Amino acid sequence: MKLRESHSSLPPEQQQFIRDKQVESTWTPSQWLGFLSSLADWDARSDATRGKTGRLLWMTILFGILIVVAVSILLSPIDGAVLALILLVAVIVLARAWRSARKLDLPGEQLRFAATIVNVLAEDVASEGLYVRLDLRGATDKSKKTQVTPEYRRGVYHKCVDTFYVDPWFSGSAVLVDEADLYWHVVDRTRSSKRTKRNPRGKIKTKTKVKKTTFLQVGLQLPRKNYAVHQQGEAVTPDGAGGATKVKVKPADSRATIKLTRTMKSAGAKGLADPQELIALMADAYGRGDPARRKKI
Amino acid sequence: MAACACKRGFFTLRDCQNEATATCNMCGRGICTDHQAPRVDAVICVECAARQEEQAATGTPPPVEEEIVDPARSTQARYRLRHRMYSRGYDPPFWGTWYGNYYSDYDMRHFDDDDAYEGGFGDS
Repeated sequence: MKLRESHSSLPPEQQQFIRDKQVESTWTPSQWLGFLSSLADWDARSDATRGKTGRLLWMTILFGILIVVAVSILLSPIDGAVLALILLVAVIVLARAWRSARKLDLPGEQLRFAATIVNVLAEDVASEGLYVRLDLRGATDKSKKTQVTPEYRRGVYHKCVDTFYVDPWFSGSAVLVDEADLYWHVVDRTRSSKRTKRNPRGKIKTKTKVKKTTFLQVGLQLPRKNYAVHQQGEAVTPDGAGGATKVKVKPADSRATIKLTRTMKSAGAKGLADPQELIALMADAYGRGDPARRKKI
Repeated sequence: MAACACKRGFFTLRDCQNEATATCNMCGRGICTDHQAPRVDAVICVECAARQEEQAATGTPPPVEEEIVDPARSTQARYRLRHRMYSRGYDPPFWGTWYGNYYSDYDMRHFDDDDAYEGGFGDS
């Protein structure tokens, strides 16, 4: 109940984001930070409430069974049945509350990833604002399914079906104070492999294996009047084990374009890339342009 | 009072245009309210606070991710990440007029000509 009240007290755009799990807009970095911070705070409170409700639900089921059995033996089976009915109603109410809390849940790690990038860019973005597209519906949401393979055999597995998903969950762009144009994309690519086999006792066993890779792309257009662009740059390596970076530098008359991409294996289906990988990629792009004149910004 | 001595920006650095309203107890530079770390015990600039926290945390840095979503500490979190990035070898382009000795640990990139950068210059 408290969660519903707290949800209703949020601004309309935040309520809509919690419902749709998607937002696409151009705001100032401070507006974005306020939006994401408020949602992260709400998500932390929602997680705590859901955890409490879940624990209470299990306790009610466990102790309910024990109490019903004890009452049926010590008093009468009718008393036990009445108590069981009351407990059943309590379990249904708690289960519904837990389900509704789960529907309103947001992936906190992804929110913090986006907040980190917005925060890093806060002082670099020009007055035009920061465009961000955030989609937190999940990497294996039905709408992100791109391909399902026909059934095939592999080793002991007589039936294998692979489903592929592409989730471009975080993109953005901005004009920066030095007149550079920056854009980025974070795309999760997931392969969910459902494999079925018959074990030696004749039972049919099915398991699902999920593999996820994260594709990071950063594009930076530097104005030639301010920057001398070169192919070689010094990469900044973050803590995480980042994959190899592919670099394309395209010089042009007015603006040189630097495009960097990196693909990384994620740790498990719910694993998320470190935001510092994306920050390092942006720094790597900037490392390829040296100031070409004196200018005070 | 003089202008705030802190530098704005993450990927590129520039002068802070605000007027200094306090003096940092650690570095002695004039700082504005935007660049004052959220400390109750002392007046410290966000750059000194970031360096202090990052250096004190050698080996196991405290999670910066929690600070990012805390509106009171998000500026300091940004300066911590900035210090971390510069310490790992990122040399930011500098588009200001003067940076002095405070930033000697960082290798800033600026247009190199005969005049000494630290001497100061205006827009061109």
